[in-house]
Amino acid sequence: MRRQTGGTRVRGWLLLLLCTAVVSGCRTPEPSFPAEPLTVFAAASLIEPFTELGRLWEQEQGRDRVQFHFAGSQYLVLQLMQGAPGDLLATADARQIQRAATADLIARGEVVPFAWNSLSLVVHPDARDRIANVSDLAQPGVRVGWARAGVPLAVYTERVLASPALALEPGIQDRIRANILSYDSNARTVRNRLVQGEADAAILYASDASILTPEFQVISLPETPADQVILFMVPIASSPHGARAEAFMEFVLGPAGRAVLERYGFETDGVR
Amino acid sequence: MASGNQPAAGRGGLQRAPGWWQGGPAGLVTWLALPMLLFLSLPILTVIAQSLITDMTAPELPMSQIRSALLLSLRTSGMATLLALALGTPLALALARGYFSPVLTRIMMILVEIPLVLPPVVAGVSLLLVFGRYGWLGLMLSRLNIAVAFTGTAVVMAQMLVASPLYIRSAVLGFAQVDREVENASSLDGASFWQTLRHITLPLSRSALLTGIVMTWARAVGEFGATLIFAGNFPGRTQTMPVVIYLGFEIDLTVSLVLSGILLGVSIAVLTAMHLTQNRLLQPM
Repeated sequence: MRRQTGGTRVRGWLLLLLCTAVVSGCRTPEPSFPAEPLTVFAAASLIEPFTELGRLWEQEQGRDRVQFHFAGSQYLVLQLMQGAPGDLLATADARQIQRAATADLIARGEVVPFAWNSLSLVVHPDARDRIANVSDLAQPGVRVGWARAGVPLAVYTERVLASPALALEPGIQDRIRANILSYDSNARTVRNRLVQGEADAAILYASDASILTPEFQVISLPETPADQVILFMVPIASSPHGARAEAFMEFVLGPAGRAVLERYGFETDGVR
Repeated sequence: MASGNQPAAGRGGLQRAPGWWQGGPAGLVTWLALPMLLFLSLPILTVIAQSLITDMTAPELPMSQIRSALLLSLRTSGMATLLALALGTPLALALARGYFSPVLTRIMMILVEIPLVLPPVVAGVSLLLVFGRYGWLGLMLSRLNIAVAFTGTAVVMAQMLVASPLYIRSAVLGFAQVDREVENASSLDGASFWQTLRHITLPLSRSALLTGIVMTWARAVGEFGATLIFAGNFPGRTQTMPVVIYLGFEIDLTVSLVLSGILLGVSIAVLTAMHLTQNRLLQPM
């Protein structure tokens, strides 16, 4: 008897499960508010400002939800190329936008620069005595955080190393490269190597450096118009939520977006 | 081995089961076994087939870098396996022989098994917390001018953390199955502890030990997440084959495909060699 009851109970659960599956499968999306959140693919350096902007956006819009996928820009574009569903792309350099355009991922003519960044040499508190400028990174035993080839930060860093303003000898550049701790996959990982103290110093985005504690020494690096760090956003061509993506872009470009971005160390002067 | 009037027995005394074509339960089980086999083998076979017909062009990844990654992977996974063997065998023996109270043994078994459920990222972070430059042990080591994190040693440690539990588990089971009567008889006959271990315990549990070694090596060679976090990514120093495959994946799918083919080919060769050795070692002496 008892065994039979057990069997019935199990069958009852299965039936319930089946019903749930059928019901959820048949449910039509309610037209009054979007069932799917807006999906924004954003560069790793945008984690804090975009997370905050997402919260503000949801408050302002009531029921529209936004979710973020943060990673190195090169990885975001790769995932989109492989068919990951996204509505909006925000990258840390123009090269990755170019790559996305070549792959027909984005609608042409809609690419918008929305923030400026710059580079800083950031030194761990325990290494302040040893490192005061970029050429000090070539000293023996110094451990330097670095991004791997293809990551926007690495592209900018290479430009700075080669920049005439620093006038580094090629020998110094080679010794800096020999001191690299690890080639990491995005700007945020490079910063974290420094925060954990595994790296003595790293060249970081000024925005990423601005949210460190004051014990970290931040040394601004020379900048020329040719190696400006510009962040771009663009709607994804295949997205079914084009209008919502445009609205979020407007929000980022608007006063709220600019205020948040500037608070996290980005510059927005000159936008529009 | 088998006397004349016994039914013909296969190797190891196993009688060959009736084939699937003969129907009955064996046939049913065989058909039910197929989906799992297909699920496990189709992706691997596809990667191998695809990598054989794909031409890889990756100026970002020179052949020398791939070769050094492959050699590093083989070196570190071999070292991790040897260390698992050297350090894991005493632990497994202690656990199997009940040198501790039953409760303590249980707790220790759980401690050994925890790394198996750890997401590799957590494994890497935990290693940094202990052996990183500012980890509590790493801090002491750095006073002695020893750096562990982001070196080849770190790669071996990451692999050991995630892979050696497989060997230890297998060895505990193997040691536990050895008939204590035989061990006792050996000591009664005057054999020392070490002689009993060498001539009785280890040979009688070698099947379990060899299985554990194979699984540990296989897991070590594929280790990726903990390595990336604790040892980083530096060509020639900490850049193992799985890390290069991941880089290749970010460059172009075909690059990672060809690299996966190379790693799979080498791994299949090593695993086959291990299985052949195992079969020979398992022959009755």
